Amino acid sequence: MKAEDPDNPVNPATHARTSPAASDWKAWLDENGPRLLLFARQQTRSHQDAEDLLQDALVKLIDKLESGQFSGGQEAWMPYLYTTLRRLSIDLGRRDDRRKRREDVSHGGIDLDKSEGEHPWFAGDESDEETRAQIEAGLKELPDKFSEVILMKIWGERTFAEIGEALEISPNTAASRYRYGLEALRKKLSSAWRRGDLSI
Amino acid sequence: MELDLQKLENRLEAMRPSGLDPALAERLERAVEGRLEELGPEERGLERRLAKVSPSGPSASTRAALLTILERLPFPGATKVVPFPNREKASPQRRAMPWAAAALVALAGGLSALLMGPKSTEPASGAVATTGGSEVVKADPEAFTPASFESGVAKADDLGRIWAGGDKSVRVVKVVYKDRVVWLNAQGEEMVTEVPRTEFLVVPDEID
Repeated sequence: MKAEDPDNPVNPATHARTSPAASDWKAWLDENGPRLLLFARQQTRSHQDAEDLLQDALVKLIDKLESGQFSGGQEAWMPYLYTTLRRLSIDLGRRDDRRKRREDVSHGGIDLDKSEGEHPWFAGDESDEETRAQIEAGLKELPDKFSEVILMKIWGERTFAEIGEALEISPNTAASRYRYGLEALRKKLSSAWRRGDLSI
Repeated sequence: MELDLQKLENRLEAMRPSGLDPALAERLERAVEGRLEELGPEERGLERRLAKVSPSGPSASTRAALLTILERLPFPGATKVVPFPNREKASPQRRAMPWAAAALVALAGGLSALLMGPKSTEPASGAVATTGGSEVVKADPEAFTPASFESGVAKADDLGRIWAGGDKSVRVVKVVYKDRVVWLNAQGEEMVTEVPRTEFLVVPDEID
């Protein structure tokens, strides 16, 4: 029987050895993946597009780290990823617009992604499903310029300076949009809250 | 007949732009006062409630694909750091020089502490958050980052002379410092922590 190697422990679920570096990346991805994906979903038209964008953004980050071109330490990863997601979504939007115009001309438009309801923005159990659905709907109804700031601020835990840099606006504008966005979201959620449909 | 340009210009000059929307006026006032990032109680409450809702993660297949990308590189800090072996303990003779230097520094600090007297007789305090007024509220320390640090002497006591051996004597001074850290969060709320720190200074004693 092989002696246990503390630097290369066996995963009890898979019986495969998990290196410390791999488990660190798992932990990092488990913590930051959902918040990045949330932002990507707000920036794109579908869950699939959001996942593709997240993958592209991570590839860019790793490429820069590997080549030594990344400026800053680990604390600069998340601001870089948010900025990259934003830019990739703009590029994707332009490509989609051009494709949509071509397809509208040829055969009447693009079908909406019918599987969006299978990929809710927020996780949780059945007890608060209505609350999560209401919050997601409220965020989707907000103008993009408000919802993107809210997502970066609350779930991305970014500062207004970082939000401004990613969205190419001033920190003051970011702060203003955040306040406006929160107020608008509060109004949207008020009627559901009064009906008792919200558990927040 | 063409519109007379001069009359048009006169008419335009007589017009006044609309006043500011009250919400915009308030926003501009906040901007010039540097209060844009401040939230009201309702907004803070909503923010806290929203933060409790967790975003969904990527699908299992996407997660696996992302990990494959990430694991091309070792995670920063994942490599083992082998510490240097323990340094040899200094002989008593070699410790004399560092003691002398420390004593000189301590002399200056200790004597000034004795002369100045205590700055405050307040007992050591824990984390107390203030909102700028007299109200004291509990704040979540994890949301705050340090903004400033200062250290001052709270109390100094001369504990008397002790004989260090032979004809050498030293005085022992007990100095209680208070380290004060001001913490700020993104909302501009301030939290102050004061932690007492006690040091015993050994000061060379002058004997006739």
